[in-house]
Amino acid sequence: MQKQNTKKLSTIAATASIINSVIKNKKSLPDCIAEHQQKINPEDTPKIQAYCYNILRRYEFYQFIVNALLDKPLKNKDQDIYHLILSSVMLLNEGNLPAHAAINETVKVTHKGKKAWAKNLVNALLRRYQRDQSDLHHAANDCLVSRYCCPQWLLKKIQLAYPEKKKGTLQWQTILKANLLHPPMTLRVNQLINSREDYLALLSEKNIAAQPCPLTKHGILLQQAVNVEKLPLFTKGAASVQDSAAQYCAELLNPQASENILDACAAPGGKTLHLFESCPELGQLTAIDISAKRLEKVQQNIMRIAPSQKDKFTLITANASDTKSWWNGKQFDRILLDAPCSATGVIRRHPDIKRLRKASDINALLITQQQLLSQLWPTLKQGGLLLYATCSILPEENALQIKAFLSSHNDAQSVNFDVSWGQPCEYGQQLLPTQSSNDQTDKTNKGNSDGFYYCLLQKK
Amino acid sequence: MALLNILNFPDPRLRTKAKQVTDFNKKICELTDNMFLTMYAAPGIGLAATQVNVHQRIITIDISEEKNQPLVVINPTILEKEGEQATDEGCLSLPGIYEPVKRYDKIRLKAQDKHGKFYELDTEGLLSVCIQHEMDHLEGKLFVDYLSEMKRNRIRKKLAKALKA
Repeated sequence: MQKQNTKKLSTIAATASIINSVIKNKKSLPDCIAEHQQKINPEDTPKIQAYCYNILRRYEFYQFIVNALLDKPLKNKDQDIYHLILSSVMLLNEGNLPAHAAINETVKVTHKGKKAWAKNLVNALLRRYQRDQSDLHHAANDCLVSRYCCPQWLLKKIQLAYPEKKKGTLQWQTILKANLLHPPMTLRVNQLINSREDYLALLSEKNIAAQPCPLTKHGILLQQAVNVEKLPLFTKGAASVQDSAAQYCAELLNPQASENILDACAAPGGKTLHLFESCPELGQLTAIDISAKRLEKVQQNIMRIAPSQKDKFTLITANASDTKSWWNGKQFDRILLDAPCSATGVIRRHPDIKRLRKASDINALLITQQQLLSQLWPTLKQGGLLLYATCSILPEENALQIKAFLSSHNDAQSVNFDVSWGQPCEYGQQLLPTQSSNDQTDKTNKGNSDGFYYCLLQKK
Repeated sequence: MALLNILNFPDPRLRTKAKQVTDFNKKICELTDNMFLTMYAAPGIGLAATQVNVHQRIITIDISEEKNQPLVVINPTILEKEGEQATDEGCLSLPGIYEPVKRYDKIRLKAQDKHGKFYELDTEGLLSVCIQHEMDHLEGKLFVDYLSEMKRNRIRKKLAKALKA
């Protein structure tokens, strides 16, 4: 037998092919990159990854430009050429390659992809882009969808939800702008192993620039993303990667010694382990997830952070709202419900969400959230607490969802908490994706966080 | 040590069914050595004796990048099999052709080494595919047999053309 001598793709060919499969197969970007791994040189991977994220962050913008360049739309089967042009336009605009080299490289790809007919087209369009760049950019910025690079349906929803002016700018504009930014890499220090100060010292020993993440107890902001393997004592569980917005969950739910805790949608386990770190004396921690594969990640995290205490964790693969299938009848003291949601708060981290989510998905998610809330409620002890969390910024998944729940559950009440982060809603607290200055003295600094929602409910 | 000549599709000798090895003598060791040499030179990751016109149930395999994990498989039988996977397969007898073929994902193999010693081996992934591919050779079967008639004809023409050029 002979192994296929896989010819490695050039960075531009790989980028275009990955983007094409995200759009065509509606698969997540990390999955598509993984599928291409064999066809790309390992040393090119970080560059290709960065290109792909850049393109998906500003897909509508480049789409507008390529559509303007094309005299007539390309056929469906030639979407690979479309995405090749689009990737090349991104490179010409944001890349640091000389323009002639980028164009040359792109034209070459058409040959290798057995689409030599497209050679002249690609060449002509890219040269036209070079010539008319500023006009095209002006035109693209005149249209809201391509200016904020957000699908029309989502743009409308965000406009409707956040119409007010804050600090002189309309809030929806601030959100959409923040969605285009590169997210920071944020760590959560394991307080059982070391303090934030200790860990910052360890980081500076390794020349990793970092600072405490404002408004969090254990968060650290890295100046630049690094591979987790480079983080000191990572495999020993001294720190985990977690956005600051997600780090408020443990202090809000605040588990206590010997309590019976449920994490209803646990994978990949970042918050599960945070709950444990905040109170290792807790009684039992049940972690449920619908996907067995994703639940393995929780297991890995347990083995990394709390291998000696693994008996405290019970992992169950189940649909949490189908309580008959998994619940033993013993009520919980506290429940974390980090519900499946539109993920519209983490677009800056996962720009592929803008391509993968459809307007029609939202209704299905609303029903799932309702079911989870109402089915899990009976599993909570009287006087117990349920923390509802989403990484969504849409009110219908958050405060409105809770409002509906409260109106139909007389034994539920929302607990107020006084915090310095986020903005209060009728029920709960909403964090918005923000761009923060790194100025520590800035009192209005809301931290650099993803969009997130928390509401704490108590059973009367 | 000498390089051996690899038969090319559609050579009829590739259709010969190989016989069990009963006498594990010096010749067998010599043959496997030459087969490894030929296989590494090709370069390939597996070679069946059938492909070098020796019709005995002998296979050499090495799927490692560093070419340091040679495996001799003589008189193989599959004890257990499970799962399914499809990978693009290529063959030293059909140079340059790669087509997806469905195989068992995991197999338990029983075979003898070049001294005739029996061993069992649990394999999955590429190694499992490679063993199944080479075992087909011993039966006179080629991976193109799994493809449609049309595809097979196209490959035949393509190879004939390549040979002329």
